[in-house]
Amino acid sequence: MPPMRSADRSGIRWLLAELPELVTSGVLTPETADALRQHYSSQPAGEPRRIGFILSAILGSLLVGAGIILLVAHNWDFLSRPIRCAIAFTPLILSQALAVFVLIRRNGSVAWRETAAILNVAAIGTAIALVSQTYQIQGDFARFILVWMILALPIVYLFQTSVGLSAWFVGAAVWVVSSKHGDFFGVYPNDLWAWPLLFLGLPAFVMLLRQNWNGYGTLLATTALAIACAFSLGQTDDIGAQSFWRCSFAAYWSLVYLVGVVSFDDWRPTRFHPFVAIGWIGILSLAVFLSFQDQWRNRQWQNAVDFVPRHYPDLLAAGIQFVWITVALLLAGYALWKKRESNLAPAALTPIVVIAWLIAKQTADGLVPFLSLNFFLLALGVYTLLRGIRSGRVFEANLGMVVIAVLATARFFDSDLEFVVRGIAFILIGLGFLVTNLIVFKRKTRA
Amino acid sequence: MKYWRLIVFVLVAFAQLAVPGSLIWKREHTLRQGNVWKFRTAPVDPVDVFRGRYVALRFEIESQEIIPPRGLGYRQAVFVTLRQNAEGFAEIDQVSTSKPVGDDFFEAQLTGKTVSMPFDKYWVTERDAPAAETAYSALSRRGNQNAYVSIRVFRGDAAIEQLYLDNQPLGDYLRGLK
Repeated sequence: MPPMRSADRSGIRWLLAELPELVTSGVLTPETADALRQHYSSQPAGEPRRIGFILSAILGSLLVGAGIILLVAHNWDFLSRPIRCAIAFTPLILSQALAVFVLIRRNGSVAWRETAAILNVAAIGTAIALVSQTYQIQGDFARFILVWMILALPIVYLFQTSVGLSAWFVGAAVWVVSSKHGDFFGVYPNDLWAWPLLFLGLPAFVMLLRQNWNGYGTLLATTALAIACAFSLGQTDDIGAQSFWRCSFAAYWSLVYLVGVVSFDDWRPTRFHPFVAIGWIGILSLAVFLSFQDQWRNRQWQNAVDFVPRHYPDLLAAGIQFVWITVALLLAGYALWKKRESNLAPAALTPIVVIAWLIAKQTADGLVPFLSLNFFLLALGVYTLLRGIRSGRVFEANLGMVVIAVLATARFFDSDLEFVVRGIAFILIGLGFLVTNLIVFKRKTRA
Repeated sequence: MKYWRLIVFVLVAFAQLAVPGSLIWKREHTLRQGNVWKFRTAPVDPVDVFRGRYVALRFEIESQEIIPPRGLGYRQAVFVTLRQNAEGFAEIDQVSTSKPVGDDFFEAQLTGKTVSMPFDKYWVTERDAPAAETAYSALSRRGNQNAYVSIRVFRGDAAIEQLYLDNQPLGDYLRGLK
């Protein structure tokens, strides 16, 4: 028997609860009901207990690690320098001893590996921080993070830890934000180094995906990667073609959405992957933001660096922006080819924003982008609404209505539009609503 | 096959120990070999001094105008040599891009026509923090400047030794107040 996925358990629970009624109504014989009960109750109960064990192990080690850091931060000045140094090394050496024990004796256990890895990673930072405090050493924060991360990277691979990998991604984001603080206006912006850092975690990420594609550890690492990418992309936009952030973030949110819809399409039988919801929110927010003409009327357009970057970091940054757009379009193409059953309309944001950007670039006018973004939102809303109604999914139908309502609200507060235009637009949207409902209602009564 | 992870981990573990270890070694070396220089702290905005549990340090020499070596950008590293002024406090003698001869120089960052010291914090204990805050800001006000930091300098490295208020180490000064 194949191992039961954990999410199927709620379905099983539902089925078992239904059995008595099915027996009384004569759908099932008592024997069949018993057989079903027998079959589903004999599912290995190991799975939930294992997840609980891993979770509590991770939580416990995080708490212990945090406690150690707090104790250390107390800064015992009544201790002499050598004693303080010895204290700095104690957690590190203990965690290393635990790690060796796990590698030799408990390498098969996820909980042990995660615990040993987390404690070790926390101990590295603690040791460096305490020694720095003892000797009043003031390296800058970004450098401290970088040294800590590089010492922790082998741990991510040796212990195959999803929490450690997530910490690596988050660390890269923290590093990119803190390094900007000092160096961005310097001669050599180093923000682009975030990408190689993220790449260093990628093989571990692939291994994690292979091991447990739909696991919670993978979800954690994917989320951390997405967050880190958002920060890194933001910094990259600052260096590269600046007005292009509209396109690169349209690609980013489309990718988040597509990853949820396409890559994790069998996440849980009854639920969507969280990235679907996050992608929806991101796409809607960005589209509404860009649907104001003000966002396209920009003095930046005339900036030479804006379109054709001339220097090496700018050029590289612009290249990275293009890579994001290409990947978003490729994944959308793949989805159109293979996963037509999902709602792919939100991902159309990328090509629409790119086209709008190109036109705005040429005309230095916000009208066409304004029209195309509004058309996109309206079409997205109507399409989603119709999909929902056609397939009988109430949630999706409501989602479509929400999109239209959000669009209407945005236009209501849009001071760029005259009352007459707004009035006509509202009448049109209202009519659209009525006609849609009428058609759908007729079709339903006919059916 | 089973042991390759172990071997790699042992190497990693040594690297983990080596990083804080090298910090200790370098500072101990400077604290033993280096000469003591007294750096007067600059007047501070009392509100801005305390962030958590450290004193935000500003040094008088950070406002001393220097002739920057040509062709250097903002925040680039330079070597700073020192001399003593009449009151016995450190002053910048010269700023250069190449390593000077002698022992009494350290690395700092160029900030236009001034240099920025590699220190901006002095860690204090949780218990002493509030008292240290009041004392430091009282003794670093313009017209009432009586705070300095002793720093050991040795061939490019600089290590903070002690924060002095009213010519006493911070700890002694605070105990005297009680």
